[in-house]
Amino acid sequence: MAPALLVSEQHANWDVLAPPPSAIAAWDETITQKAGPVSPFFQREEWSFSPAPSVTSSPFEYQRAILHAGRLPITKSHSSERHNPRNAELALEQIRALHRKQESRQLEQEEAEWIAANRMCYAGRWVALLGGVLIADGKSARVVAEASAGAPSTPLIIYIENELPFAGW
Amino acid sequence: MPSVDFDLEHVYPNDPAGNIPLSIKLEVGETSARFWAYVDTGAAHCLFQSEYAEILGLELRVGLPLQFSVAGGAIIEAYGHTVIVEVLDRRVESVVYFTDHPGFRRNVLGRQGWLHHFKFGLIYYESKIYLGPLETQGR
Repeated sequence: MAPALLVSEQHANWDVLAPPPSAIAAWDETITQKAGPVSPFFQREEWSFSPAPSVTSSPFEYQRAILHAGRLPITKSHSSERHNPRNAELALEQIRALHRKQESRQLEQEEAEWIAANRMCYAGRWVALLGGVLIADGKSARVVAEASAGAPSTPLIIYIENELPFAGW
Repeated sequence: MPSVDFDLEHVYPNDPAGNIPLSIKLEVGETSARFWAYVDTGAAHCLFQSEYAEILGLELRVGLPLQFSVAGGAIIEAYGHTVIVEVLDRRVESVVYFTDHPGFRRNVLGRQGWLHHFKFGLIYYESKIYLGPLETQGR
């Protein structure tokens, strides 16, 4: 059996982690009804632990993470464990990791789409891509790598070839 | 009935030549290179274009030399280097090979160096691959 944590990654409902604003409002209302108002404990100044802004930015977000933690295998199902700050930290780490993975997959998908759309134009050339953005192109990998050295993250650098069926090496 | 568990399902990009392309990142220290490589269960090792060794700051011929025979009967000289291989957020340290053989344009993720770290599943019809850690095997 695969580790439950990793299975949960694959089947996590992303709407729960990054829902639209209307869903957040509705969800917060549901949470408030079920769990009560945000505890003053979680509204204290010391909770400003610099989480990723896209993940959590308010006590509500933090409490949502805590409630989410209650559904993750890192925590026990006992209700008292849900409000263990350490569990919330672990839940936030997992949510951040999920965001990073989602961003990576999105980037890769955009790169694949760019290549599919531009293969003919750039056949025989090296290109550097970051998502759907062409950073550099040239006749050698060295030139392209140098031209894309300032990219915010590691760009995709590949040689665009005319696709013929591959017989294997 | 035998069953196999995986913890990751990935839909790979549609490739006009029918390959199984994956985005791969190699790291050596603080330097990294990211590119596409094709999963090839028939390849004994991972073999990449020497341009990526250059980007990583590796001196190609300092590596472990190894000759590969390819489908067309040609012999390819390649050199092995230890790098961090990251594919689909799975990071492993492996010896992979680089070649500056003229005409070598297909980077391949083969058995030694990558596939041997995981359980691997493929539904070619749906462009889906599955990965799982080896330690779950037999549980």
